[in-house]
Amino acid sequence: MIILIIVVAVMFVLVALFNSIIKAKNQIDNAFGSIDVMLKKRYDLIPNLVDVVKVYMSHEKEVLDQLTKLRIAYESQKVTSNSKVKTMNEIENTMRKLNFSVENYPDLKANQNLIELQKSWNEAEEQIAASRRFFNTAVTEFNTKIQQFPGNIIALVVGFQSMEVFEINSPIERENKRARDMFNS
Amino acid sequence: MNPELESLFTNGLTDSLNALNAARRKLISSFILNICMSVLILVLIFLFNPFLKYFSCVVFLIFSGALLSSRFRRQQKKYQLQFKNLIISPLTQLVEGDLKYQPESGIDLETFKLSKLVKGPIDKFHSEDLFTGAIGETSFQFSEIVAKEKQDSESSGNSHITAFKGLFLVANFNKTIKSKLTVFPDVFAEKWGFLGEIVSREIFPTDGMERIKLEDSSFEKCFEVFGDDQVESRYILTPSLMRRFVELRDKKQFFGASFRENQLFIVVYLTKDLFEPHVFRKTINMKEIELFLDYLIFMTKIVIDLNLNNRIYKT
Repeated sequence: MIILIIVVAVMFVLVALFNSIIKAKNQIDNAFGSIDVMLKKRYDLIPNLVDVVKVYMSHEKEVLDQLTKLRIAYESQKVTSNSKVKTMNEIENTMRKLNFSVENYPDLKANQNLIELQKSWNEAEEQIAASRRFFNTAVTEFNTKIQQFPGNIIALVVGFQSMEVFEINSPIERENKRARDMFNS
Repeated sequence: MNPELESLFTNGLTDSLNALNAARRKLISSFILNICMSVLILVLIFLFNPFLKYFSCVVFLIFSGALLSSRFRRQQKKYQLQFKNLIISPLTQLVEGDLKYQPESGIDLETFKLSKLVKGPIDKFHSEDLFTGAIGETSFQFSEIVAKEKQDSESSGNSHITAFKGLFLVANFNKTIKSKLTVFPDVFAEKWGFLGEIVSREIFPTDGMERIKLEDSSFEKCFEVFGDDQVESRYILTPSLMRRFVELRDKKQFFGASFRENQLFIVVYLTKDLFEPHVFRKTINMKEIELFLDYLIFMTKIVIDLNLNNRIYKT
């Protein structure tokens, strides 16, 4: 009878631990999804940006058209696909090509729409940073659960593996240009 | 002593101090005189009233006690108001933010309840010493608040416990906020871990929000954060804002904050009244006045220290 109680208790503990690991893993997926949402929010500013800029920088038309096409391509791709990361990098490269120097265009600098866009861009960047921090916290919690005993036994049986946090050398971090650099290069 | 404060008192407030001292002496004299008169009348009633002398003395004591107490409170209030207008009001010149002072006004109960920084239904609420100002694009106001909760008990019947006593600040926040976030001082969780968190949830109004664990270890040691959106909580509490909170915490004992509806609410827990003079002390206490100024500077500097004027985000 006592053995039965002990066995049942151990089972409960293992089930609870397994569930907490699953919860931690789902939190990671949730966090990764948040990053994608925030990146999309930032890139959704591009059409307005193009509309404001093209009035003042008519000779950059080709680059602006390319930017618009890349943004549409980004939206049509799957969240975790490599092509999405590639498109993201191309968007960042194109923005650099645009050589967005507000100082050279004083009329553009004073444009109220551009000022509002800058604020929205800053907000989007801060939200991307917040999503990334949430992702890192979720990954750290998950890694801790599957590395500590007895979670590591469950992880071994089920096949859970440690995940990597976002670091400065990751593609997203490297290409996440600050608004200041973008608007004052 | 603060040199600006010293200069203000030496050059500008000597007459005010003299007037206040005179008013204080008059108040004490009046109080003593009234007591003496009451004692005299009591003795006369006892000696010369043959009918129900003890009953008459008791009735007179109750009546005169109530009258004297009410009169003293009125005079004391008048003296306090005089003190606030003559001493506290000029202190606002030494503080940033173009502060306006209204001694008899305060932040209303609805705004205080909106912050969700105090648990329980508030039965008695008193707010006074309202300061309003603006630094850059950030407008703010703060006042002294005492909020009490009714407590029913079999032994003492209806009594009130103090739910909050201290300073309460409201400022418009520099980011758009859709969710709710509250930051409480970490009184228990740091010492007792998981059990401490359970105690915190009982004491502080967490409102069903989840515990948000942040990556700044110094911040986590000083504060507990509860919010309903993991990402937006981190959007609000950036690494630099967390650092500023810790620096603010190093200046004063306990304070809490909440972020709701594009506003920042801050409570600074105090154990005694601020901006009030003592009636029965011989002179105006300069150390106390310096403390009042210290709190005024602390409250207005919150806007600067938390970088609320960094208006680069969409609002």
